[in-house]
Amino acid sequence: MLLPRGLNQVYDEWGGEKASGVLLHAKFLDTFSAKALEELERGQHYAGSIEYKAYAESLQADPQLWCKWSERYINWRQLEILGLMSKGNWA
Amino acid sequence: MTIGVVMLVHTALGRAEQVARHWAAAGCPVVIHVDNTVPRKAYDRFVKSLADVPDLKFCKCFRCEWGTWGIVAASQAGSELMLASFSHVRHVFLASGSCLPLRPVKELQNYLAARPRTDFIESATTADVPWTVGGLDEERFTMRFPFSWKKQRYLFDKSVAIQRVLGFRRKLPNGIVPHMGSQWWCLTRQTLSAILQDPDRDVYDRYFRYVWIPDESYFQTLSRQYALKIESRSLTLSKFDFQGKPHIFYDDHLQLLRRSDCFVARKIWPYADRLYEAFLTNDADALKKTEPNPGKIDRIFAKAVERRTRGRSGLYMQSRFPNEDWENGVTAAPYSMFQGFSELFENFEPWLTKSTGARVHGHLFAPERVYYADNQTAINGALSDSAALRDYNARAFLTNLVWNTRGERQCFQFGPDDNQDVCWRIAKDPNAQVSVITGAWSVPLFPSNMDFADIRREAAQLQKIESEHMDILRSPYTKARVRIWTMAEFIEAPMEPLQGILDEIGHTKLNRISEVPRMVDLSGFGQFLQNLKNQGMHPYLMGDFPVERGITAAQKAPRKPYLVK
Repeated sequence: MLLPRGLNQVYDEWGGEKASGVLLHAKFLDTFSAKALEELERGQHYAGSIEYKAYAESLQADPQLWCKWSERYINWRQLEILGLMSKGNWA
Repeated sequence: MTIGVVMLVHTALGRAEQVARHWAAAGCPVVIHVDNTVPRKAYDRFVKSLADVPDLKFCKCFRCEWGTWGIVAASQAGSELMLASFSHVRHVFLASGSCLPLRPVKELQNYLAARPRTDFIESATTADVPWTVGGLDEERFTMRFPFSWKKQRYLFDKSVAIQRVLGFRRKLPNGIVPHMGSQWWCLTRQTLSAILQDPDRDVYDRYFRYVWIPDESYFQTLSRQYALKIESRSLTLSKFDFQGKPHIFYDDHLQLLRRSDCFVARKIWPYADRLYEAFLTNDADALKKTEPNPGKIDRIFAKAVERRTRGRSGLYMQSRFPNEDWENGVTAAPYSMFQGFSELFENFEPWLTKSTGARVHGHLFAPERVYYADNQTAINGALSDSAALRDYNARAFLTNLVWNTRGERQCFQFGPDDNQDVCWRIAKDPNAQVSVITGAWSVPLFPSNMDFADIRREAAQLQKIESEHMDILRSPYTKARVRIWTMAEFIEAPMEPLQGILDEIGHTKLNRISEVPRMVDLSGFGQFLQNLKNQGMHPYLMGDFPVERGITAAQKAPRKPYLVK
């Protein structure tokens, strides 16, 4: 089905907020350095696994992404307050 | 005496059946109107499923397209059948298939029994209330609307445009005053039958047939002719979003709806099982006599509309990315920018921290790195001190910084050596407090160990940049609170400007400044400026700086000779 064009416009340009969410990328999980090594061994990714090589290298040198300014995840409302997502028109 | 319910149904017939049974079980006669577009088979199945319910009738079907006469025709047919078939009905309640009673029907019956002559219909004159969202106001009543807005938008718009050009105006029959309001009403038999049996009904019907959205004005206008006592509010809770579309209630609105104390709410999502389960019960153990109280719901939905249309000032993210000058506030909180102060005073930053309690950063926009307060390498939101990352979008860096640290006043140093991309954004930001001592950039050059030719080139460059920045700050587009002093002016009396700045920042710990920042040693500085002048580089931003400070000031101006006539 052809969807209305408006659905592709994900942000508001006049100051308002549209509803939006947040994706958690796998590389922020603590299992990721093991995963990167495993994928490097399998070597099944494009361009000779160049991306995983970079991941494995930088994670070996500095595997800790947690810093003083990190925050513990509580719930979606916290993410909204931080301004990382918005409930838009939802009440 | 009881209430009769006229239900307009066009979809989710299963839910409509449930609600109809609920009304009927409480002893309310029900008349159902099913939209013409419902397939024959589905219609027959629906009629059959309700065959066992007493006091339930189906009326003649009309085509109910949004904004057209069909909905009024359906309400008329339903009401006529209701009044003719059930003589013990005193109030007729117009509801839709997606309406859900929130309180036991008995409570509604008691409520209406206590107000036997009152008509509940939201009805306001168009002239006084700017209700319509992005639609036609008064023109609804003075133009003709033969085309469908949904299906023939082009013709609809064209016909409106043509009628505007021609100045076409319809006359209102019998001098009625157009009123508008929610299409969901509850009218007494007296009022409703007076409308339906009016000898002039043909005239009114002919007129309203071509009014735009007559379901929000037909009964609202005509009830004003006959009603003894109108309560201009709807007993049906319905909320509209910022585009004028009705808000749909879901399972997570359960508590909110419970606390509203409204009798009926719409629109309910057909799959909101928890809502239907929770509200379609009639345990009348403890009947409440409370008035409907939609205040809380109103506030929450008003907030949602505000969030959607105005958003949070100073937030830039994936679903809020305002065009320039449409931000509703450039930044999230007030902040202060100081130019020339840390050059002129040795301990300006610690002094400012001490006397205001604000977070005082160094040169945030310095070319080599971001100088955060306390020499940190990152701050709130893990904002890094990398100059490359910052310069990729310096304006966003500033708005991010202010957003991330909201709740704490931010102050930072700025100068002509820093990244100037932010100048306009700061100048146009009402949250910015900008204080500038012009020419103070030359103070660090004075004791430096550079060749004089290099100093001269550097000074010329910095002066040019600062001069451009001052033009921005003095432009008519500037919304920031700007204070500019020349260096000569400032060192004459530094206390007064400093006190003014601190007072404006607000939460100062002391009423008067007790400790003063230490000014750098300026002896010989006048000569330094004179040397620059002698090399052909005129440093004018400092103001009139005497060559030998102190000596010239002490010298008395020679007296003017008296002229004796």
